[in-house]
Amino acid sequence: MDNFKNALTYDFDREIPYLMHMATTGAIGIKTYEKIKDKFLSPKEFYEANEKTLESLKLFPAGRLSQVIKSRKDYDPKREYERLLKENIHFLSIESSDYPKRLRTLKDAPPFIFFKGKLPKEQDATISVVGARECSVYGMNVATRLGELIASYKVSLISGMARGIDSISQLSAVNAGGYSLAILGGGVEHIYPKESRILYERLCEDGGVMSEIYPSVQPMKAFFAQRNRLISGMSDCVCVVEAKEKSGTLITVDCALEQGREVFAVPGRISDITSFGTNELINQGAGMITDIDGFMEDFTNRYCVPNVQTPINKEETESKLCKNLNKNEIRVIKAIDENSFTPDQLSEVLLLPAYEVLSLCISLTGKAFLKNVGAGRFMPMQKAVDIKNYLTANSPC
Amino acid sequence: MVYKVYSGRVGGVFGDLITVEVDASSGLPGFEIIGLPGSEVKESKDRVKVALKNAGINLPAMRIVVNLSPADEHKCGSGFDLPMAISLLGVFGHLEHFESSETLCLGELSLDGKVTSVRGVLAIVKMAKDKGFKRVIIPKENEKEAGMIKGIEIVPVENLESLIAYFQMPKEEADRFMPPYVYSNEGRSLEDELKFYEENSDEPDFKDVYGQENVKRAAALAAAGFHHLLMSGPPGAGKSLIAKCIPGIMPKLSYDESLEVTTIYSVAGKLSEEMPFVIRRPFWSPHHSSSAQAICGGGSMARPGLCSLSHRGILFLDEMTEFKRETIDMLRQPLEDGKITISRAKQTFTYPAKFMLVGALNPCPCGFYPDRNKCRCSQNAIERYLSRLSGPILDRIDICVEVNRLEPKLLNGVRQQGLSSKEIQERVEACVNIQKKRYEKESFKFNSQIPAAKINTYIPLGKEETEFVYEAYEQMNLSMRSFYKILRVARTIADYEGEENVSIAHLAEASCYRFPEYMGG
Repeated sequence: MDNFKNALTYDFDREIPYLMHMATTGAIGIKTYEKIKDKFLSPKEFYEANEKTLESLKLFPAGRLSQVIKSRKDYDPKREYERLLKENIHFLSIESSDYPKRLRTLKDAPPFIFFKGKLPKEQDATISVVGARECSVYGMNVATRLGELIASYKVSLISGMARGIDSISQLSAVNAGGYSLAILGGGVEHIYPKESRILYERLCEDGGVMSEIYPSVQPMKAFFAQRNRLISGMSDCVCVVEAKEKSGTLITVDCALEQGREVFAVPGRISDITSFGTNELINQGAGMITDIDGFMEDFTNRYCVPNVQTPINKEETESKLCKNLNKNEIRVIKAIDENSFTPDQLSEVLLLPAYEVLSLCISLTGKAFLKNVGAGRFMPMQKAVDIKNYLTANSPC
Repeated sequence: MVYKVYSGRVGGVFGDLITVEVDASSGLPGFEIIGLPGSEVKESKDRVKVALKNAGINLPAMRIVVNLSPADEHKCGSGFDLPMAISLLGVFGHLEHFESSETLCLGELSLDGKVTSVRGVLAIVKMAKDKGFKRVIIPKENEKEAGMIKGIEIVPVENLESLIAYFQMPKEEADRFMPPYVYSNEGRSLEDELKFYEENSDEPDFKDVYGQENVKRAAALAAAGFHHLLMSGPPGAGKSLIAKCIPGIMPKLSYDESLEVTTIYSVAGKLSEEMPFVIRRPFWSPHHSSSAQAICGGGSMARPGLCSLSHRGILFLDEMTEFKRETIDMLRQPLEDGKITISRAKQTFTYPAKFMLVGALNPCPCGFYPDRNKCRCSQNAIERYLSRLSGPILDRIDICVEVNRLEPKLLNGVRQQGLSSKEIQERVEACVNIQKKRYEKESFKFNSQIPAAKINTYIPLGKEETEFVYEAYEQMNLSMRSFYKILRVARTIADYEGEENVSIAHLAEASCYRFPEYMGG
């Protein structure tokens, strides 16, 4: 075993291409890797070992063995190594000192990881924000707000770059100048889902994209469940924003519990199908996020090195914001919930003529309380939700 | 001896003059029709012979040749029966008072000598008047549509026997026997009829549509600026009802427009005893299984399709995503040029097709997107569903609006009734007049048709407005095309509000009618 480590330490450049080859097979988990380290002197020796030797060592079941042998065909370790270098894809094996400490302690730690961009700093606290792909406007708002706050506290945000909650929280974190890491269910060369391209490019610059799978391998269904253990593994705490009854997010939660990570969930209305999973988690004992600011403060107190600036007093900004609004605009804000709406729907509630509601919505859009999403539909921004909560908390009736 | 009678046929929506010449000579008895006749024209030989016999005229056993000139053009339709019969009567000396050079005849014969209706009478009568004919002889069933043309004597005939009697009387007596046709319905002239219809229409009215005020406004704007409209919403929200109301808010059909539309209907054979001419704006709602030919027109001898029948009216495509893509793509030319050209081996026809396209669709397979509480479709399914829409057609639609189902409990609450169709129509008409005046010297008439090069001329923006639109352009991540659409719609809103300049409020409202991102806005 020591020999193997020595080979890596002293002959790193020569050995690394062969080590990378081990990752291409997709058949080598942490246990097999330990065995290989036991039986061979260096990765090169393993690479050059013939089928008979491997068979006699009983490292792999029969099917897997042929897979390993097959992977050597049409594979030039040195050329592949240089190609990945050119593509700015970094490679780490579990022995490396840069290998994330949080992962090393996992019982099914990945022996190799590939990444683009940077990995989170070890001393920084990490939170993962995960949730449904088909999320509601409420979920979008919470994910955006969480992303911004996490960025402002200099906490690293870990997620999976999936549609919906994942990518929304990551994008808002990167946009707010924070660090975020996406852990993919395929090689890091593949952008999945395709519409996350912008996020992917931003992450390669200001954050990181990581995967245990060889960079050129296409994403596959089975990989996603596997990568969920890395999302929870990389984080100190897992935050579930929205989840349906049967959701991949719940796999992440199971992994988190197994790995001893904290789990928090954002509650929702019991009638919303997108909040079923999260409410159920809370029911089963997950932490409940009732106030995002409070949650973040609490989290940073426990996980971060002290001396991070606390955000400005919100109450004050809200009362200031309110002064900019006229009576009817305030009525509109009070009438909306977190979902998008059309002025026609509101005019029925407010008993105002629809064109008046439309012009109110337009003026609120100008003040950035609402967003005009086309086809006559408006979406409330976080600011509007904050004001609404402030108003309901402070109004006498 | 040769006898000549004039008749006509329809090409596209215009009449062509056809001369029917008959010669009877001694020789082997026979009856021949030459001059590129279609099969229905060839068959008229027997109809004419039997009808004449039943009217009491026996043809002598001679060699008869009928020539339809110009001989190099294909003739079709059953309207040549009557002119052939008349020219046969002429050649055998049965016509005493018939000015063949001043008269155009048209009509199909049945075996008992009855004259029955034909297609395209209006177009041919119009051609006859333009060519200087004094009189047209047409089937009685077609008298009302022919009556739309003023300044030509219209002689409606019911059967061959009375026509023969008519020709044997001097003019004054004949006029008493079979008076020329002038339209009158309970003392109303044709122009009065249009007004009468407006006041007694039973079309659905906007005041009967509860709520949906913003959709109604979008519809009014669409009618005012001739913008094509797309409505998206869950099933049962009222999209179809709103579409049906739109003809009622469009400006009244003028006499000339009515004539145009009636001509198309006449050519297509869509006129009937109940609807002898078109006085309301057409509204057609083809089912999504309709073929491209049904919508665009076609057939080996082309006839106008639904998009021509909707000329000056509404073509409503319900469930737009369910239509075959090729069918919808066929509408690109008519949407661009206001006419459609159909080429067939024998002929090329052009039909007018200036219609307002109103589309309706569900935003996703279940219909509830973007309401994620009700919609359980996956993002992929929604994308696949919407990808069936044709991009080039969406490009030509300026206004997109969501129609939402109203909560039933709200329907019972206190409510003020919205504007009626008539009130909206007045504003629309005013708006159309403003545009007519503004674009007097241009080739286009409506805000929706302003070409990109003239946007700056007709939609001048102040400094603040310019800043506003550029900011919106950035913020909403617009394409140049949707940007121009917003400007054109803003121009219509300003006209609709009776204001000279486009203000920020107009631009902001216009930006609300753009396509949402999930539909490629």
